[in-house]
Amino acid sequence: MTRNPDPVTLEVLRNALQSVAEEMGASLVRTALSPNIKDRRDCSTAVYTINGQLVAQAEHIPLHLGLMPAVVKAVLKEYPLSRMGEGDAIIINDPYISGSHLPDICLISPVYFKDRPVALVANLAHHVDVGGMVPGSMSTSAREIFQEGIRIPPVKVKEGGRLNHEMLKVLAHNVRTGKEFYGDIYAQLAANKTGEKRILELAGKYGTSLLLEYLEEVMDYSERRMRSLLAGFPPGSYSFDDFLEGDGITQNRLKIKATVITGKDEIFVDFTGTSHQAAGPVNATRGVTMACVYYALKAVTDPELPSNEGIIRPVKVIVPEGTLVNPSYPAPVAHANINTAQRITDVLLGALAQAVPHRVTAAGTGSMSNFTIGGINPGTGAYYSYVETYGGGQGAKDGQDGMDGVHVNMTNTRNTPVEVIEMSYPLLVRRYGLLPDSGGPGKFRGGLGMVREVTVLEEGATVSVSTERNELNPWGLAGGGAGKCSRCFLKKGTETELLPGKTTRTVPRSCSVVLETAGGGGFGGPLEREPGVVREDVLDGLVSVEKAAEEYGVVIKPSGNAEVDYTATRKLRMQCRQKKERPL
Amino acid sequence: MAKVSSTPNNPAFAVLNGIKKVIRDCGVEPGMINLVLHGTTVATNALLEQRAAITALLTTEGFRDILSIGRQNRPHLYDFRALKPPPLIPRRHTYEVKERMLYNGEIMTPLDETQVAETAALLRRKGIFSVAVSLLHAYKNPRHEVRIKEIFKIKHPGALVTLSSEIMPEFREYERTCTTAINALVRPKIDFYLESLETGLKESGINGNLLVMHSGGGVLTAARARTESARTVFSGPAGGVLAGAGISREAASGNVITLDMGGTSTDICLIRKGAPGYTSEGEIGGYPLRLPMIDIHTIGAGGGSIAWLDSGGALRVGPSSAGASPGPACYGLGGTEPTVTDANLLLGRINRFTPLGDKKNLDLELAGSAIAEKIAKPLGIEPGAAAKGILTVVNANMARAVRVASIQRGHDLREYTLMAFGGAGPLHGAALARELGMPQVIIPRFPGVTSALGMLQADVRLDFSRTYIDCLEDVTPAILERYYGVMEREGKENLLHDGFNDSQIILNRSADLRYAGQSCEITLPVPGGTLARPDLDRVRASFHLVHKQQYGWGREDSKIELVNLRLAAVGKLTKTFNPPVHEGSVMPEPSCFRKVYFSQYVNTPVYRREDLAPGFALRGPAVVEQEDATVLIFGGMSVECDREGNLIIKTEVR
Repeated sequence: MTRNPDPVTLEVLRNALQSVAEEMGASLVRTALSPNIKDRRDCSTAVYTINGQLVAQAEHIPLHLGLMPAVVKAVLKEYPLSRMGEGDAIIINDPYISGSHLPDICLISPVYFKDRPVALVANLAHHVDVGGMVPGSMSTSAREIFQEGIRIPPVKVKEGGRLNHEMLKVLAHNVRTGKEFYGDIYAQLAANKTGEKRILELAGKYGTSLLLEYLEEVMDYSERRMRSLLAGFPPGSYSFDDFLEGDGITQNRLKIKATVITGKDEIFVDFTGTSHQAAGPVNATRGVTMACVYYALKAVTDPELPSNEGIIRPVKVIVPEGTLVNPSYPAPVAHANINTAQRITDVLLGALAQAVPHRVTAAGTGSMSNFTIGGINPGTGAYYSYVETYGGGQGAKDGQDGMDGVHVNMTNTRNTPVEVIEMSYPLLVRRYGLLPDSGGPGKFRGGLGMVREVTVLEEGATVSVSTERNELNPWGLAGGGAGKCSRCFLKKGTETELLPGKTTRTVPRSCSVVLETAGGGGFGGPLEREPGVVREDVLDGLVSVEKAAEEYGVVIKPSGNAEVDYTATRKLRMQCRQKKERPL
Repeated sequence: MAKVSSTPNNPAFAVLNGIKKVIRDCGVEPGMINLVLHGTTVATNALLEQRAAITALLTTEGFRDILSIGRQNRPHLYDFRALKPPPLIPRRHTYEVKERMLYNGEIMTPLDETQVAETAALLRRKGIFSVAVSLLHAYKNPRHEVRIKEIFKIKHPGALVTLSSEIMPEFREYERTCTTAINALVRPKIDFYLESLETGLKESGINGNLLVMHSGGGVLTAARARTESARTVFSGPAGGVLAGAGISREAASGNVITLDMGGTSTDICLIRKGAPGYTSEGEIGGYPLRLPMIDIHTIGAGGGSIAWLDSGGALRVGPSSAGASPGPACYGLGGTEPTVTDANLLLGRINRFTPLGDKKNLDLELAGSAIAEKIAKPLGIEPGAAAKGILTVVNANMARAVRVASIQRGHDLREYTLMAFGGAGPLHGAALARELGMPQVIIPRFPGVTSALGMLQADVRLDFSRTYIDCLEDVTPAILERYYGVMEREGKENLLHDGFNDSQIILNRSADLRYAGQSCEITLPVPGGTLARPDLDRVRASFHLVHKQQYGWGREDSKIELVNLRLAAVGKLTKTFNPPVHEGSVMPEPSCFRKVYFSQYVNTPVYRREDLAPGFALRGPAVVEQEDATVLIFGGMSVECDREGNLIIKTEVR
């Protein structure tokens, strides 16, 4: 990095390459058939050097941050560029190469300008179904990868511009939604075509040598920005661990441990000490684990950092084989992104908190809290399936409360409106709101968890819940208290029955299922919180008068206006501090 | 044309002062004015600056947190500190009402009227006069909402009550509640403002109708704007788009992309076959505002955008802006950051002898030193090269935004003309069009006031909508006609009441449609009059077609779902605007020559816009200056003045 790139060409080409990735993404979303891609945007598109180094990507979910840099390089090892030619496209979904899970199918195309390979373009999209033991290919009880669907090693789906229809036929024959499969594969090919066209335009406009030079420069640029940010981290070694509350088969706790070592302008992450891989499908492939690492680092350094190979170069990661964070073949992996990814991220933030406490958040709701109700709609006789992931509290930060009722970290999908749920499924939503007092107390309060109460209106509905933080609270930081745990229960008339965090069961008609998601942890001692700010929370009903006194030591006058009794508050806070100092 | 200072305490005074000044300058009797068209940002500002009135929200029991949760997503994937905007109406002012409507309009729990009466009395005691009511499934059955309004009329008669079923009777509770809340929040301000304006006009002897611009690109009566105030929220840039649509029909075969580049931001809108795109998915400050509005794409790039070097060594421009104060360094008002305007000045593209306030000229030295200190020296390059870099980057940013609004939606830019206006648009239009491969640029006669002139082309437009969800294949034409009929009667009655006659009224039906299973809709026109099955078949065919054009695929075998029915009731206004008389010449002498940087410095002829008459034509490089803008024409391009006084630049001349 001794050369000085032209800052204007750098900015213009960096933006141009980013917009190549974005236009590929727009093309993919526009042309795909399945809602996963076109509505939920569970897909990513990217531009690479011919060596498989990621130059620009348009990712719609953070999980792909770790997948995209790895997949092309891994494929090139199996399928070198020397065996490719113009008009080729490689297809792959094997998690033990791609780093993802089976529903994520990746298509990679080389781009040739005047017979010379200049770049690779690729995209990854979550297909509706890739076969396996359950519709959607996301079984919660698979014990090996073969139960999760069809595995595709890197093979040419297109050669010299001609599609391999025979192979596509085999693949489509093995998935439940063959029509969508074809549609989405065509969309993925079209996206790469868009990318190819734009890269050729750039090569024509700027010349091949300048383009190739700036593919490198764009990566060096990100690396410089990343390194200059990492250089500001205090050198040291920081460890943290946390647990997953079961693998879907047993409720045994699974440990995730990370040690983060900072120094100079690099960072080193070691997952040694993490549990052995699980029997159930919660194992995080290397790609998922790396996604969590890059996510956490991007968030604590600069959220606007362009995602490419450059930000990865100063990051060294050790993921011991055969563990929860890098399972050995043929362990099942489909569900890592629901809960495991969230816990890995918590652990990384817990470790980074020791180095840069002002840049992290306390633990958040810690799960994508997957909630499914399915059955036969007697009105239409058709199978219905309501699937949604619920957010909760965001962990508090130094200087800022956590957000209430929001998706945190590795996911960001939107909720389904109550009115849409009720018009689409035989369900009645009784309640959807924030859970007062669920945010971890602190100088800065953790975000509140949410509650949704759904009544099943027809017989024979199957309810399936997968959430975490059922027993282990989201932790606070710097003296902040923990967020409230998640909870799930059934209501039949006046009876209630508590359910475990991961459960599947059939419920009778007019029975209600209540899911409360966890709140976020607090930051800083709650006795440090401005009484006036506590009062605001009391006025909004986010913190009760009782908890204001109990946790924050703030005494609210019994008047309607929630005035703070400052004299009583001072006294109470002093007592609280003394009590805290007294050894137990 | 007149410019007056603003009067922050009551913005109506400034408007009245301006009107009086224009009348005086033109020697017109106040009594002769029969129409006052007004565009206002009072509602927008009230909302963005959080100066709106204290407002209460009434919701269904169990759903107090609709506004707090929103769609549960966070605004930025990686930024922990990028917060969801706070609930528009705080939780403490949100009251749950015991009632429940089902999705099919059946009442599950009747309204607890006693509780509503108590809440009304409580709000009255607390002095809260603005109330939003948004109950679940009220779009399907508004009975409970209507009853609440009646109860408030008795128990809290001073309150301004906005019902979700009136302002936006469509499904999706968060978006509907937000839209209702926005209306309730800005209503007191607009109400007071328009009342003072109406009074002031009367006192000045002007008895003409006061019509207010709305975000749908039409105008409404002041009376209606005072109850449906949220409709004025995005009215600002709509005028410019209307001007673009007007010009597109005359001079550009209907296909235009408008580029309204001002000091801090640029508004981009695609106009196809003379009609701008509409959306009902607008947002303001992160809050959804689901009222029909012209689909305008805004980016943070303008003359005041600040250039800076980031930690990776790239030259960036914007999105932060020096605004009007302190403004670009060359304004001499204390700004030290280099801006796009400073770069244009340094390269000779703007006339340094442009008066600004009480200053006689722009300060070239300040512009030069800002660019030198902040950009050129750290990079070890000449200030001129740095200035050129700043312009390259800002043009690339705008080009990217234009691509998003066009190519990414399946439009071919070679079929479009770029219409560049606003203070900075004419300077950048030609470069941008060349970058994007667009053949032609139009610079309207008065680029600085194009938005205001565009308003003169507006008609009264009232928008209505109803949610009606069913498969297009299953719906009977009679049912649709009934729904449209209700809206048409309402629209027509309103327009007749506003003084229009039958021959001036146009009723345009449309519908939001999607493939069954999708969650985003496309709005398409629906034939008027008596509907029959073939009409619906045509709607179906055009849906497949438009879907394919916009998204690249269509599925003839898939079911299509109707989601919302819409009606625009248009009252045609007589257009009386006469284009200005041209007194210039076809072959004027340049007013001067100036060294202007293109790929090198070129001694370039500078013309005054008022010297150019229709028929004027020449080849670049050239500069055309006028009071409110500077037009830049590159070498290899040609420019001509058309009959209307627009400048037409052809970007590729052979």
